[in-house]
Amino acid sequence: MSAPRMNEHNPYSEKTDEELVALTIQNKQRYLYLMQRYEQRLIRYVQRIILCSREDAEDVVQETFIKTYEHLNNFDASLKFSSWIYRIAHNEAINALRKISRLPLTPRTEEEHFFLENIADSSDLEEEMLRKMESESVRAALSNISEKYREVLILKFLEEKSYEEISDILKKPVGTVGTLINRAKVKLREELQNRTHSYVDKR
Amino acid sequence: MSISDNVLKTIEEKNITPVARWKFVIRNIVLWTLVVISMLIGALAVSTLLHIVHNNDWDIYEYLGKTLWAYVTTVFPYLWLFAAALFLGLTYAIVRQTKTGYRYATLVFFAIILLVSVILGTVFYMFGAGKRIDEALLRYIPAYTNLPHNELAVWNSPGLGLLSGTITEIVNDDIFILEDFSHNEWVIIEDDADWRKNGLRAVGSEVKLIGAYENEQVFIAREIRPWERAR
Repeated sequence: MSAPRMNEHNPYSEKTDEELVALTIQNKQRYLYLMQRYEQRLIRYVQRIILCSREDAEDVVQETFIKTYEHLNNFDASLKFSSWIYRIAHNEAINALRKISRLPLTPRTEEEHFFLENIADSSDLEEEMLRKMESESVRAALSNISEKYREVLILKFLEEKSYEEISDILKKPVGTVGTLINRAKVKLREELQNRTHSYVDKR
Repeated sequence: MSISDNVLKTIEEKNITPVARWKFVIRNIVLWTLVVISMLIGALAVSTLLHIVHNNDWDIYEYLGKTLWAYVTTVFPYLWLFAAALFLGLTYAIVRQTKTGYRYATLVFFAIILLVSVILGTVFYMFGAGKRIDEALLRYIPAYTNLPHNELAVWNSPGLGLLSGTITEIVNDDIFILEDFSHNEWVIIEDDADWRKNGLRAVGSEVKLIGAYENEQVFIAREIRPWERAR
């Protein structure tokens, strides 16, 4: 049987991830449909959390897909498949972090606006200040806070994961996730304020 | 070619297959078995701790010229406290490695393990597990005998008014012969002695005496207690 192509009609588009996992165990060709669902999302996620090039992120995601396939029989149905595959991607990204070099930051206007709206809606951050910040500053500020804080903010506000999902991805209790997110917001706010002050001082 | 296509090709070329489910099941069983073993050992440490604390004579510090605090800090069975804490921590660490172990809030989870260990340890203590462990170690591990919580050294201080040994002969209602645990023979004169904790006045009975040193062979006993721990 030949492998299905991406541009062919997808007969499994109505299936849930969990149903596709079961189908993949019976026939590995079905795994393609599962991977296609996550390919771009995971590449973006890996790029965001470890600030690497697209090529490096693709390598990480490739490893993620292989590891996920090898461990399909260990998939816990009490988890969402998306949480599980994000967890594996997180682990692979952290492993890869030691090997790959980080890229200088480039602005991603649309993405950052989305992030800004998300984070400002949800929190006690100084909304006005954040809204006025340029997207490049947010991206730079995000890159300057530690990985554990950057990742929870990305998961919460860019990947739009719930606390429970973040708990399953990072393997931390939900309460700890809440604490991490609050601390991350404070760190981000401090970083943004420092940048604002630097900008004003320069002028 | 997309990454997904690449991965599928790699899977086919390298003939990669999902790891068999039974391997994960066994890993999970092994982890939970280790949790149970670790928790049981921790509970046994708690039961031994309870046995030693309960059977120690906390009121003899004055005879040793110490304050209560100094005495307690000297003879407290730290070994068992450390063992209980170690296996409590180990249990916590292993549970964290299980599939869903990360979901439990650290403090609550730790408190639950502590509570279960203490309850289980108390049950073991009530069934005599702590006593048996303490006795076995005293008999077979010489180094264990030298630990500060061992009573033997304390109760072998006739000059301080503390003596212990086995009754070898009942002379009359006021006098008996005692062989101390260093095999010295003593004539024990009871000075209206108070027999506490159901101490048995009979040949072969092991006892602890509080009183006064008279000379190298004679000891005046004012209080007599049974020797409850092993030596």
